[in-house]
Amino acid sequence: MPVVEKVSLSILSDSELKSLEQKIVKLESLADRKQAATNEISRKKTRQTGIFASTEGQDALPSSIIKKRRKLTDNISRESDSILAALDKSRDKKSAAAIVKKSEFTKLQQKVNVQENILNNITRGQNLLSGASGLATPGGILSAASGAARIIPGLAIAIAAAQFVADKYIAQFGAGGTKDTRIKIRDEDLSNIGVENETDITSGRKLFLSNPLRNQGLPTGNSNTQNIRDGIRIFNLRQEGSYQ
Amino acid sequence: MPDDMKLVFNLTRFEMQYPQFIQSIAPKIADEEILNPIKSRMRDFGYSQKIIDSTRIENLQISNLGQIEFDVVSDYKSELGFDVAEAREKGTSRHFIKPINAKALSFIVGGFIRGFSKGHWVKGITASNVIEKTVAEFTPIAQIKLNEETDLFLQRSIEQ
Repeated sequence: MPVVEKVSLSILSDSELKSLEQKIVKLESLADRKQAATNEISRKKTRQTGIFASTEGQDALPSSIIKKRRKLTDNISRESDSILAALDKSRDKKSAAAIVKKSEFTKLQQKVNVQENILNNITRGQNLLSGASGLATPGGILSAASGAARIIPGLAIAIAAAQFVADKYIAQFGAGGTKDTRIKIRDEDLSNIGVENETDITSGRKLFLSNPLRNQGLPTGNSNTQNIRDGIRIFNLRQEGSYQ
Repeated sequence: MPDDMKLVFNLTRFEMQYPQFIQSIAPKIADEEILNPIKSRMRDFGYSQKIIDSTRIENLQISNLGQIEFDVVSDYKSELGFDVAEAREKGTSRHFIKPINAKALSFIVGGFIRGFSKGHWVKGITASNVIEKTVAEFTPIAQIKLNEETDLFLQRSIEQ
């Protein structure tokens, strides 16, 4: 009788393969949905790349899609970061030459210089417009705006400057501004304190003279004419009975 | 093709190619991980080459229940029908031997004295159990090897 030893090794059974097949089908379905969602997101992103595009999507999306969308945005920002890092490197011409071609680098440098000039002009214009002395009157505002218009080139910058001027002009009517009407009302209220003030004036306890020092009982000036004038007025008022 | 769809495609391909992979890998695993260690140990135990050569894998089957099943067979017999392989594997008890065709048995005593016998008792052969012990020892190793090969196949299928 021969020697026979039975050996048994485990492999994937039919049921396990069938289970795997079911998972594959499920995964395929999920992959289809993900692909459809990705296409939809990319379509929406393409539609929103205009100057009037909103930053947020108008349609309600499932949270999973929003997460994927944020992921896409993060990827884009990462790409932007890498580009910015490359631009930082490009400050060194030697390393920039390794990144950008020489002609491309020259164009890029020119663009950067133009941007710097525009930014400098904006800064100068804002410094001019920020001065309050030139904005006290509409004429001052116009002169400031026209001066800014001469200094700041470009329509968009002129519009920004006009908006800035308008804001400054409106601010003059606000609290603490030079054209704040509430200050005047408050001054009138302080100068006219009611019936008692009227009585004091009519009874001669408050005397309005041209020389304010005399009202306060202080020594009068050296002018004899003023003293005589004041004396006559006081005499007349006393005769009328309104000065005591 | 998107990554997810590629994964689905590769997994489907893995599922379809898995039976063929198992059919090709099973004899290889049986030979390298089970049969070769048995033969190596047989040599170490001083088995005759005829016994070693007669040891083989038979009845290799891949079942639907997730099993690779095969037999390790060793069945070398002497000209007279004595199962030498079984005797070495399972051992023999003390028994009487006598000549069947010849007139006497010839043997060497003390290394140089030839003796003759019409029949005598011999002590039994100690059981080596090489096949049984080696199979028990190397089956887990074969299973590990099979798992590794399966993992590699799955990895190759997915990364393609």
